Amino acid sequence: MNIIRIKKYFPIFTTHKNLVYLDNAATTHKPQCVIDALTAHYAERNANIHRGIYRLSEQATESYDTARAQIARFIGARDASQIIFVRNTTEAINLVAHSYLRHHAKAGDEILLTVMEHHSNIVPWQLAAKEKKLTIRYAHITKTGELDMADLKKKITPRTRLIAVTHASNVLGTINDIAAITRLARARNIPVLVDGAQAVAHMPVNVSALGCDFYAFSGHKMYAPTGIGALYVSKKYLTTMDPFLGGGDMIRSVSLEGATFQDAPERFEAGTPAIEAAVAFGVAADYLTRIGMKNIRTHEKKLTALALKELSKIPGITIYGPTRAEKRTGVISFTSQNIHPHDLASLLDEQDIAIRAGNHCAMPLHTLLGIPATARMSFSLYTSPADIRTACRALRTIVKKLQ
Amino acid sequence: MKIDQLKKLQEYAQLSPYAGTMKKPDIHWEGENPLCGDMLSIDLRVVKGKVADARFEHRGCALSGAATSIFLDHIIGKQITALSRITLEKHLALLGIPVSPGRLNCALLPLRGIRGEGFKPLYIRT
Repeated sequence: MNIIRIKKYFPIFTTHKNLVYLDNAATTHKPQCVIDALTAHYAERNANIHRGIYRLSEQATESYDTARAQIARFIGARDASQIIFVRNTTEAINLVAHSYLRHHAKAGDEILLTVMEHHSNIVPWQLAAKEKKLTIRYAHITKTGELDMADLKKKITPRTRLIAVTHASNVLGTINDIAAITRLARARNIPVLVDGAQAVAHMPVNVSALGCDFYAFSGHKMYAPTGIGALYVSKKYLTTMDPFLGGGDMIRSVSLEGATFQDAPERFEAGTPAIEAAVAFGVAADYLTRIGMKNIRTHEKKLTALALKELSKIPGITIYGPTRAEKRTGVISFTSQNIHPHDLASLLDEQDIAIRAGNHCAMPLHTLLGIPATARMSFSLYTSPADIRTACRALRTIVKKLQ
Repeated sequence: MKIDQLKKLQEYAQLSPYAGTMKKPDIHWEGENPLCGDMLSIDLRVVKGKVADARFEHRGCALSGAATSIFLDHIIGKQITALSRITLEKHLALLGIPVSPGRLNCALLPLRGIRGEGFKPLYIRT
């Protein structure tokens, strides 16, 4: 991978020449092909999809359907109809809570989550649990920030109706062994939802091999526009789900007395979707495939190892999560003995270095770690070793001056 | 924010004459910034309707700690009824350094507390 050439392909780095962007877990920047896809759609193929009996509408529909096929291919789904376009990971998880769980769980049933989940993989379940009187159980983590598989296994009961787990933690970077979890679940006929927001742009993902039933992810964290994401649903559950939102495009027929609904995926996509964003989402997936997800993982693993090494040399810095790069993505959360994460982020910003500070929408995990906030660096395919050295050098200077 | 500015803020927060708690305060506020989990509690002694003394306990960034110390220094001697009229602009001006939009919540934590916006007062006795 030629990082200099890749970086040039992301116009933000031409506009902001000195920017060291290490907040890729929040959102990624966009390559030229994605930006071009957005403008080309509006300039050349703009029309509403599915309904128009004219060529332009048929072309827009074709673009939208192509994007669905591109996303299906990207994550190894067998059929494009298993991909439901949504706004983001949050909406995807809410869709499953609404359209699946609410109809398949009754009072006293259980949902099994982990303590390392993002709020978006906790709160939708809490809302459903409150409504249906369900119990939420949480699998714990080990001292090194890995999922405690023995604890997870112990917490699967005959009442467990769903297991929802992140593929990679947005705080600890921990990569969870999804295949091992789905093996446990399949034996008991429990569906598994995977929050793939922090994984899909950083490692090869094949939902068929993982064996999960739901896989949720956002476009904007994988170099595509905001406002578009996807939910993969296994064939087994695709036909058992009730509609999500009601409205246009998801119906087969409507009378004054009631309505019948389309099959998936249209069944779950009421109203005009973000067509241009979906098209650009597909383009982003193909761009990543061209670079190669294995190459991206290798590159980011090297960056992670470098950052772990450099950060551990700075006095007073505590790093959270697994110590070995093989076990984590390019997300590293840390604290400094003397400097609050927010102050650290402000000081680094003075030098055009963008990191994240706060609880990263994972308050339960931070409470468990006994800290109110962490500073977080997160990498992507355009992050260079020089970016990491620059950030760590700046960090070292700050820590030294404030001792 | 520059390193020297942060150093000054850290000093304000850590060496504040108002650091600590008060026995039987007339007014006690406590709460947190939900965005980052910063914790703050403020105790006030009120004599004849005026703020006579103040203390605070704080777990959070240097900016919110310093902002609290500076704010308490400003309100001592002021009528308790006048506190709710302190504007955001006046409060930020007291700090004397520019605050970026992303850090406004840190800087405004004590003011929002006093005004009952950021978190609910646990009890108020005057």
